[in-house]
Amino acid sequence: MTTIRPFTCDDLFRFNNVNLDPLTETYGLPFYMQYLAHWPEYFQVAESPAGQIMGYIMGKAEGSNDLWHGHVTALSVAPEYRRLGLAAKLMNILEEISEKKRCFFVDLFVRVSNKVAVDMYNKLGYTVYRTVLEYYSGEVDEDAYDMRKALSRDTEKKSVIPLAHPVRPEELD
Amino acid sequence: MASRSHVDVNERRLRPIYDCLDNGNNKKAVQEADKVLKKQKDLQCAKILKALALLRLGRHDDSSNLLDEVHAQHPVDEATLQAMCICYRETYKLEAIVDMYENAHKLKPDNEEILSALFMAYVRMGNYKKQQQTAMSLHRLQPQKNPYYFWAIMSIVMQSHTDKRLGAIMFLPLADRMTKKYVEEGKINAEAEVQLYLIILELMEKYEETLNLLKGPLGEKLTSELLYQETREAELYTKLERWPEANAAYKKLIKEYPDHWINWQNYISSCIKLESTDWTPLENDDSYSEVHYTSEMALTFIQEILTWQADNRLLRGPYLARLELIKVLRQTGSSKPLSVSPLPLMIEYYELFGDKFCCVEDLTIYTDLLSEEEGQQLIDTLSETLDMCKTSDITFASNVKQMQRHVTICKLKRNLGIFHRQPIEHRLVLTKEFLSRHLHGLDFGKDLLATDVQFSDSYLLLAVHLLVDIWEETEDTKYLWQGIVQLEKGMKKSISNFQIKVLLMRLYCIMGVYGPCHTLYESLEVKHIMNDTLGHTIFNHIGRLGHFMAACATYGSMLKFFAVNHKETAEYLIASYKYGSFNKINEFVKFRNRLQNSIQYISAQVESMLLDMGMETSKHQKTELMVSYMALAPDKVIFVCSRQHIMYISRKDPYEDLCDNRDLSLMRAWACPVKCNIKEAEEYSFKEEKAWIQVRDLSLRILGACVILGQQSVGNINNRNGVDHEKVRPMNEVLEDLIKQFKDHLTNIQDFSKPYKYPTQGPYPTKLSSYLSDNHSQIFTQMVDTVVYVYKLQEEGFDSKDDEQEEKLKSCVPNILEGLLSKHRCSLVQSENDNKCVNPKVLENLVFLAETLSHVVILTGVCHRILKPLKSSFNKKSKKKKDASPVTMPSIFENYNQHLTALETVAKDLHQAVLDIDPVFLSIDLSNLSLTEPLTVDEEDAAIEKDMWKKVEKSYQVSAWEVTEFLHNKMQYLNDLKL
Repeated sequence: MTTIRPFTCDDLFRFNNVNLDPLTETYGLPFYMQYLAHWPEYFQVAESPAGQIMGYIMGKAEGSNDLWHGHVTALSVAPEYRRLGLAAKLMNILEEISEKKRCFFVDLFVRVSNKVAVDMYNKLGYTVYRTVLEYYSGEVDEDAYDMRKALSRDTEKKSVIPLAHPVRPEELD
Repeated sequence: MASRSHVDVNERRLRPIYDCLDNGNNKKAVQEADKVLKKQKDLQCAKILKALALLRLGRHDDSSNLLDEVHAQHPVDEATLQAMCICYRETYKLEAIVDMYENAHKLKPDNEEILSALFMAYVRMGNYKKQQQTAMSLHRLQPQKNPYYFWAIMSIVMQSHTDKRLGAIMFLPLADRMTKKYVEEGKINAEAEVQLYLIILELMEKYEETLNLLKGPLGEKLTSELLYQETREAELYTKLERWPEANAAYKKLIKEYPDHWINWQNYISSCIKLESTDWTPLENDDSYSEVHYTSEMALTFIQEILTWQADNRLLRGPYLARLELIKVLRQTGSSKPLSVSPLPLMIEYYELFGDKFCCVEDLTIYTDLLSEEEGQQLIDTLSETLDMCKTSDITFASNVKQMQRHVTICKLKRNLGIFHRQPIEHRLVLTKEFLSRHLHGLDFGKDLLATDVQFSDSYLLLAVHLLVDIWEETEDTKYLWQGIVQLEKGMKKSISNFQIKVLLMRLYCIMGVYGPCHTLYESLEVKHIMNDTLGHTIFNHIGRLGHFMAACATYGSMLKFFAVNHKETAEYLIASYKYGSFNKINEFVKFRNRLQNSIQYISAQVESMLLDMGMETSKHQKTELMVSYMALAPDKVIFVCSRQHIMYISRKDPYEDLCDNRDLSLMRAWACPVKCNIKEAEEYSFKEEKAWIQVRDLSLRILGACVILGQQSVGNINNRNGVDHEKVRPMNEVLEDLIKQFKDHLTNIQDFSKPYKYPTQGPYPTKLSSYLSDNHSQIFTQMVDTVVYVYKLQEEGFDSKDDEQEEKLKSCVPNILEGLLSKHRCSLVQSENDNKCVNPKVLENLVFLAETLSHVVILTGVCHRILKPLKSSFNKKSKKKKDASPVTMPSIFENYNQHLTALETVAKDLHQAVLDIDPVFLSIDLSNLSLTEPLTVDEEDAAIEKDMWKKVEKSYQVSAWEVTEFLHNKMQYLNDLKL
């Protein structure tokens, strides 16, 4: 039991228990505000009955023609609220909103090593569309999977046919 | 045609400059620009691009010369304007952007781009009225483009926020009329426009109309968010107190999403509202057939939802809804009996969700529904369900889920106050049990990644919280050291657990050890907005514990965040207009204000300036330089004068606008609400922080005013430390005014002299209580009075001599200082009945004394500055009158010198006292002093303890070293001050 509602600026003051997780990046304010200004409906937060922030999802819709799609920019759930199905619920909301916007598919990037996340996305119907080489920079650069799930508008599921070869980050559109 | 190709040529020529700028190659950009300017010496855009490159190279003067030159030519070319806009944004000269586009607009009144850029320029400034006018001009220019018209309306709405009274009678009705006009003419075509209309109607509290809008044809445009209309309708019924409709609406929403908590809360409260007013539907009226108007009906409905979901993943919502129902029912004081009671519901909840981490948090919302006996009963019943609780020996969990269930019970016990009621020996046994359970549980997490949190960490945290409780009761610091050792050990196994780190930092700080905290803080990767929300975890400690260098760096990075964010975030106000996210505009404005008025920001500003005043000064000249370098304007509140373009009407008292953005709920301690009232502590802490900020702000400004006064009294120094056009008040008047404010403030805050007992998981106190009770305030005011007196002597002559002031000057301040020193001077390690322990207070007290002494030194420097020329002119005069009877020297000079000599002695004593707490200097090995006793006989623990003492020693050493250095500077300073 959770309240899911649009993320507001004030939530930035309280999302530490989510963001102190080492795999969750804390961005500069412009990054969040850009999403809030442009795609407010794609930025949703889950709150516990005691008023704690449990997690949030941040996304956008972009692309032209049959590449018009929903994109998951960030999805994070605080350690203490995991294994409650919250991530799935947040993903579901993003997919529904993308459906309403008549998107063809939803996509996201995930670290190849993040097995837990990859498995979860698999379970939610996402498949690896392509590998992006050295997408994550760090001490050792890491590859990303670009995972996709077709929405109802893509009746022939064209958008999720995997590419045969990996791509480099600069080749992304 | 000709002009077109001309533009192309320019574009081609400028391209290389743009490329260099994009690649960050600013040097080359300058060269490329020079190349172009050789061919076309008047090409404005090239000049501006050069200015931009110069700016980024840090050559601000060269850059702004070029900018000014082109600015005066009133350019209209789009590329030039854009580049200028970037320059001005980077230097935060928002007025210049407005001016530039106003000029361009005058020359090209029909240019839509320029006019729209002018609108954006006003948005950055928060000039809503001008925004409105500009948007209307745009609308007249392009009447078919709806957004311009709605920009104007939004600008009107924003004016209603700054002036509520005019908002209600003028702005909102105007916005309403303008929107209605478009509705009637059928011209509304975007969701954003409907959203704006909703905003206006709601601000006018026209809820019925809002409802009609939502339900009408325009409501169909609201498609972005899921269930938006349904949710808003339900909210509006609640606002209108139309409980039957609200109830039916929430019920419908629950059926759609049975786990959405806020809907449950609203559904339940509407039920109870109906029940308490004995509402029943009229007979033969079917329109209310969906309404639940008694608590029993609500209970049946919840039950119904529970049976529905039987096949799916269990949802916590409906289970908790029953407890919520009981809670709300009790809160309203209803005597209606309900067929369920909290205890069995909580037991059931545990059975279903006890293996979830959040089970405790959920249940603790409702534990106050239980009596003390019921609380015990709950624990007993839950324990029965676990095999591990049945035997008296420690039985370990056989899997993670079972362990989590046990953890849930233990946390509940703590929350219910059960541990607190046990004698200390029992709790110590329990602590050890938890620690062994923690160790055992680590086996379950062998395969976890470094980014995961260990399953059994809760045991460790529980154990340390128990130790903290015992320390709070016994004041025996060995328990804290033991806690630190265990946390250090646990952190090695669970490097990502921030709960361990946050608690560890707190314990170190309690013991006066800042050193390790810095590393811990960095490992949390605190950045961006976390500077504001988490900065408090170290902020009150760094300076307090004398880690001045670290303090400088930390204040600096905090201030950088606040300064940068305000610059950058203005652009997103603009984006909100562009994308029609009207809901976000006021939200952004409020957010920016909340950051600008953050107590963390203001404290960092004031503290860093005070620190610079203390650290960077070993001579009075340096202090004077420092004051002018800081551009200190003593007549303005520090944090107000540093603000530009604040988009709100400031209240009379700027301290009233301060915001508390600290995240104080981060640390989980499962504390018993009866034992520790976190909310009250937080509220008190905010008040204390505000009172303390005011003390510090006024101290800083008084110091500044005194220094400037001293300078002015000597030469005809330009006394304008601010904008030229303003009428400048004489500094002595400013100072008198400040002193009055300061003394008034001191009277108002006397209550804070008694220290408040904050819970360990809560906020940390400021230095305010020792400031007041240790007479630091008296030292400061006395010294400032002396400055005022000396200044008066200079102005009015030695005849205005005041014996009382003279007497006070002679010894008063050094005496109080000496008294405080002997009160607080003691060794870092104390022994009491053969028990040795570290006394963390010594350090804090001595650092505070050092700081106050540094203020006294500066003020003494001011006296010297005024007195020195007086003395030499007196000497000259008396020499001239050789024949006449000898003139007696005014006593002030002698009294001043006495003050100085006494002060030098105190400084020297204090210096020695600080040296005496350096463990290395004294060659004390803390680890050999048995300051704590090990909790366990374990080699690893022993090694970690040894390691901890090394860190502790190092940290005390840094403190002692930095503070002696600081005092050394002050002694040097005093050397120059003899008359």
